[in-house]
Amino acid sequence: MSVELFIEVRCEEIPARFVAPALEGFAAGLRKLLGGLLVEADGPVQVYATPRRLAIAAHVLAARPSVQKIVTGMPIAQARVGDAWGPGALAFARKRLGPDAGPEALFEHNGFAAVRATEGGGSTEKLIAEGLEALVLGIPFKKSMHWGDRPERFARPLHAVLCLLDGKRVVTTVAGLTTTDLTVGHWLLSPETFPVETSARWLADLRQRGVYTDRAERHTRVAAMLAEAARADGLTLVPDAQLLEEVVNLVESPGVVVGRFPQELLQLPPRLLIESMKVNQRYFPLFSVAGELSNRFVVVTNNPKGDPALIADGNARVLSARFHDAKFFYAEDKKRPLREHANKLGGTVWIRGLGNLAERQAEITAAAVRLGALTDADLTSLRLLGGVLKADLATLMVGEFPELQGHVGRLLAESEGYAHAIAIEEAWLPRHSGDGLPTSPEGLAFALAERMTLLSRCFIAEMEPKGSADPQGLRRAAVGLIALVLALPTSGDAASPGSLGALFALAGVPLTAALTEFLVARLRATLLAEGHPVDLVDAVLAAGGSDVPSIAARVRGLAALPKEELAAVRTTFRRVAGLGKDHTSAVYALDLLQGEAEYQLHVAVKALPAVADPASLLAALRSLRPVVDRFFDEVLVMCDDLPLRGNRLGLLRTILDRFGGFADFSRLGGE
Amino acid sequence: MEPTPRESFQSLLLALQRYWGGLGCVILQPYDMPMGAGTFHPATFLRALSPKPWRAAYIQPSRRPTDGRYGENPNRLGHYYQFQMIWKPSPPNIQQLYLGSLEAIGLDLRAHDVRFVEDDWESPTLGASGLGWEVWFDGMEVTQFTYFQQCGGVELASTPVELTYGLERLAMYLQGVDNVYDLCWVPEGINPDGTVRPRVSYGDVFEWNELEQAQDNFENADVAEMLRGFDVWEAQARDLVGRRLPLPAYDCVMMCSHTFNMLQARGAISVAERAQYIKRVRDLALDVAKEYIRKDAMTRQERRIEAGREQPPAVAVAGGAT
Repeated sequence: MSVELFIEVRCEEIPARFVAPALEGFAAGLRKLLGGLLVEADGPVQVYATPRRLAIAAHVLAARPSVQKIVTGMPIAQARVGDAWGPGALAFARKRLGPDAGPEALFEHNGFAAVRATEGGGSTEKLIAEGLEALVLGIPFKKSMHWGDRPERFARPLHAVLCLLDGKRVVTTVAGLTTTDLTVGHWLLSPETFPVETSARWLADLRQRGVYTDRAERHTRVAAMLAEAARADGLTLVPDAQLLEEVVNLVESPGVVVGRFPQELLQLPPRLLIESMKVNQRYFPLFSVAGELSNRFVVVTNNPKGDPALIADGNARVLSARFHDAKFFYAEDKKRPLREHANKLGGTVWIRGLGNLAERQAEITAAAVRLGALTDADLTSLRLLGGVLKADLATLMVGEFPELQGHVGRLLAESEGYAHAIAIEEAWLPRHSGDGLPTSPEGLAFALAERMTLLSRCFIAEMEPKGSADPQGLRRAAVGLIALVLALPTSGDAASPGSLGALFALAGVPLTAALTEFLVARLRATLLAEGHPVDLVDAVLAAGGSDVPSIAARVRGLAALPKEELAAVRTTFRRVAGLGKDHTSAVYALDLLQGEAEYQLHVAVKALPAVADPASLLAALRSLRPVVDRFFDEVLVMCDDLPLRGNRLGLLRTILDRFGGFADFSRLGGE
Repeated sequence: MEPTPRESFQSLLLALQRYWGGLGCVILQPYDMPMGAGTFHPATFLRALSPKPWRAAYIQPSRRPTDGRYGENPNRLGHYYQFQMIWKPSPPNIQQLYLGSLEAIGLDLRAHDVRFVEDDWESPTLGASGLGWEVWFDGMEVTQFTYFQQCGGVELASTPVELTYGLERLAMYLQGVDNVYDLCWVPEGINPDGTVRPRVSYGDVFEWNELEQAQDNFENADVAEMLRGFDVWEAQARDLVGRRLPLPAYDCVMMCSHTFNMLQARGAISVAERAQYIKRVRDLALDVAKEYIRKDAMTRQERRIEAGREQPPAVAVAGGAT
């Protein structure tokens, strides 16, 4: 029969982002402490959290089954003094069994002095009393701190630890706090203490006081309140799972309030308004049914009994002050054309030793114009936009809201009538892996040029990332560059870029060997992140070259084969490589071909298309495979007749060479 | 009758001092040197380094040359007030005490939404950092609430809690005004001698100052002189640390920091150089901290002896004198 163990740790507000990993670590720590005492068959381990408490409930055995065990000490020769047990052996017995243990407890076991000790059998309560402090203080947090004069660390100062086993308090201390069987409600609305007996009562009693400790329940509740608030105003809410999750972990008694800011502030760029509301204030912006941003927003509060008008007004004032600032900056920025803002770029250092922002802008533009043909970009537009590409970095608006870089430049350029102004914003894409890619050919050219020049300059200056230090974000830039190269148009008039060398040469950007290696390593990581088997990725990469689209197409093509066929390809061509690899000459004589299988393989090899594009090569590989299989079934390659053997190896070597640019088959693994 | 903290800026300052003074804080006055934040006051930065208990509160003008707006921006000032409270070791009920201070200035917590939102604090120039929150009052940041963990590059033996209230912002909320210069510093009243005291606004006290200081910070301040000044203050700080005088050395560190802020406002320091200057100030702060800790562990007499103001007590020589 199991009983309930319930622990509640109360502390000051834990950062929202700490909560989920802390609960995971709490549960893992508890499992480790309890071991076999945990009876998950009687119910799963349950975790609860609000900003001010972490709790866990589990079914456990009330007592540990005891086990008798032989424990050995020193060798018998040292343990004995004549016929009697010596002082060393007696000390060993007392250490193991307690101060009352005498010579009668000792016996010989396999040449050693030994005693029979009882292990386990202690109460679960004792185990928990002894282990609670380490369990609680072992809860992992991304950052932890000291408080008062305490040597311990926790996310924020600890206030109380409640620990109940079968409804009764387990008496011990944690960070100098004696455990309790009392808890409190919301710090403002129900701060009085009350006793707790079970987790179920705790949950219900707190709920009755307006504190929702179950995160899933609080999540559902907040989501419903948000939806209702939007509906009541005839507006809609764009779901944002991340913001919702954060907000749920910022409150224990959720309430919602709808606020509004002055209508005229809607003239500001919607992205500014939305990001300020979400990122800085954790508000949910409301939209009209048609999708237009409204001047209303929902705040999730931690005080459902507060005065909605006062709370809405306070929150709206914060936004208004911020937006009025932005409006002022935007109006100031619009007083001068982007060209004039761009004139200030020369005064700002880009990267120490690598020039200023004006030079940076010119360098990106020059490369983008050279890449323009590749992306089908309008070259005139590229030149015009290039003159103001970074101009918004000199605006007040971006100085105040750096997350809007690119966006502000685009908006100002649009208002000045620049064609394809979207490219100014798209030059920043992708900002992180999984981010969107440029949709305009001009944006794609700028985005490529931006990253190629950044990487090239930094590698030449020997500023490549070392260890985890990557101050210029070169890894992110490289991953972004790979994604952009893969997004290049493959049909139409645009020429394929070919290798990285050809791509950089086209852009007029120097490519060092170290950078090539760095980019290929990022390509490998990108392909592995797509879920492709590591042997396929390495086999294709080992074929050499740095033609990114081709490498990706070969890996993806192979990985997309039906499971059985892929297994067969691996087996067959690994064998071809195993045999043919060390044979140096890719020649064979027709008159030495014996039998149908061997001849058919020759015919098939001769018929291999001369093309090198990945799709044709893969098709050739697939059609060749059954012929090779038959050859292996019917022909003994390593026969005793040396000329025959050499001829067959020459045939296999020919195959290897024909596919040498596709993949190194010797790298293919098993299933 | 004295106006309430909702009615006058002056009453807000007095109410906070009275509240924290009533809880045992030493009510200090602003330090007499320019600084960017109240944390620079020796009552916080230096006292935090000591393991001895300490409770103090004070108002400190903060000078942020880059935030000056010629008196034209309703929310930004190059010179503003912080109310600073430091309590070490941090008491277990500090959140409660803090919330009490909001009630003491006339805020009804039950009607509003008060939140503690994660915000870790770091002062690179002081080698100081801490964990805590910004306190949101209906979404508005009213206080920075920090448990110091490190100061002068030293892990602290006893954890201080620091509260920093942005006074103008709080007053604007309390008085319901949108422009800082419209704040009522003290309302019209009748003086004890029967004369009428006119209403004084924040603008009456500070607008002219904001205009001229901004002119100086952005246009006039002599860059070459300030660059030289930085070097001079730095050399002096180093010299004083060498002479084991951390308190005057720290004054020089504050001057370095302020000079650096002025240079930034003049746009004289590039992004790359910025880190170098910060490091120079931090290195000094770290040296001062080490020396302060050493002297803090000494008795008054030991310090006077080291200063040559007292003779060391005669030591009994083994074997005795003849």
